Amino acid sequence: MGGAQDAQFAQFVDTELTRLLNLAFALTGDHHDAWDLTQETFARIGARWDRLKDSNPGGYAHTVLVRLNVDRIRRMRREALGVIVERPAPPVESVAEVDEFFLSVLATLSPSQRTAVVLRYLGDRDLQGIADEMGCSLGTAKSHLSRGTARIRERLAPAAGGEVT
Amino acid sequence: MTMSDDDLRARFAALNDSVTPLERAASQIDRAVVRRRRRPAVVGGTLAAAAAVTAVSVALLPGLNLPSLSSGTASVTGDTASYASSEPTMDGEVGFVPIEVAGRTVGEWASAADAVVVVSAHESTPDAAVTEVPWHRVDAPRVLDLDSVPLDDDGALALGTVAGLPSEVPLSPGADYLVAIRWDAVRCDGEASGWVTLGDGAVLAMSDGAVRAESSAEPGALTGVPADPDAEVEHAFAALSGAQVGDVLDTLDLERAADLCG
Repeated sequence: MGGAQDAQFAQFVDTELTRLLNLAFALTGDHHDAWDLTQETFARIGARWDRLKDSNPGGYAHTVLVRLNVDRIRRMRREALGVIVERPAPPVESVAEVDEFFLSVLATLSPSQRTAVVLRYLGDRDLQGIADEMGCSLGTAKSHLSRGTARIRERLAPAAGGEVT
Repeated sequence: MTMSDDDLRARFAALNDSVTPLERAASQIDRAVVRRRRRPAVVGGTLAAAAAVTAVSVALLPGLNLPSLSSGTASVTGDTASYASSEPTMDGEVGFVPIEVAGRTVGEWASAADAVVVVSAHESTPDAAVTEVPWHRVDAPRVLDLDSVPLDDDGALALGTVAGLPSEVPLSPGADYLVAIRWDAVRCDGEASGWVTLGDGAVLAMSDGAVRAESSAEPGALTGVPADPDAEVEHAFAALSGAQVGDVLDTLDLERAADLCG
């Protein structure tokens, strides 16, 4: 990759970094995990930049990040870590007060449900878009979105003093 | 009180503006890109050569029950069973058919496989159920979604039945195997697209959650460092868990091999 491509990739990082970082934060609820996902996504895109630069690298990065996160959570489920690894502080900071209760509600969803609702309500994807990004069928995407949304409403309604609908 | 879609959007919108990268973030990304580029170059010739040998027709291994595949071989329980007989490509349904793309080397797994799964051989029938999906290619055209699959009567995840494991790998009842599989969108035999296993070498016996090693001295690949794409999987993956095998495959980051009949 030459100087022009390096500059092009740097511009891409500058344009997409905040968007992808916030997507990762919505998916993980954690600065470290959000940064790890974001950095790994850019590393993969950057390594293939000469092939991706003329397509839709932003869309590709979005999908890569979503799938990396699903893999990450599955890996966490399977591997009971015997040691606690201290990680350096990520280059991320909060700029607004985070709704910790909402994050705790999102944390109760399955990885696929959380991904589907984040893509729907943060990414503004339709069902087909969700299915495409998650690599699943339309029916499966619909199921994840429906169950995830229902669970969020179920958990948030009592806190709001209302009925579950 | 009903939480509307707009309410939910507002919650997510607030979340969306909650974090920002620090200045040093871009330089960390630059370093991550450089580290990734230093990994071994992709050599796509191995799979291409295998494809040339098999020409346009995919020879299926003995013992394969094709008619049952086309009508849905998966023994999927619960609410996925309703589509099991009519739409063999839906998630939660796995009709495995081995293809003549060898899976003997790490590079072949990393380029030709879309996923690595753990299958458990049934105690009483000559097939096996997918119980775990330790790895997907990040750009896999489909993913096997455990979350969409209900538990079977024994409380285990039941994705489907492996109906066509290579005949040279006899299943021992109750044993686990690590299998490299691929989403075959364009089938040479005209069948509907579906999940297939790679050919020779694509099935590795497991023991205690790790790929069985022939001897205790046999080292597996080191995860986290670039793997040798020409290493044979039975040696390179010896004593590694499915997740560790996935880590090894990720170090290669090979471009996905094209479909044989695409």
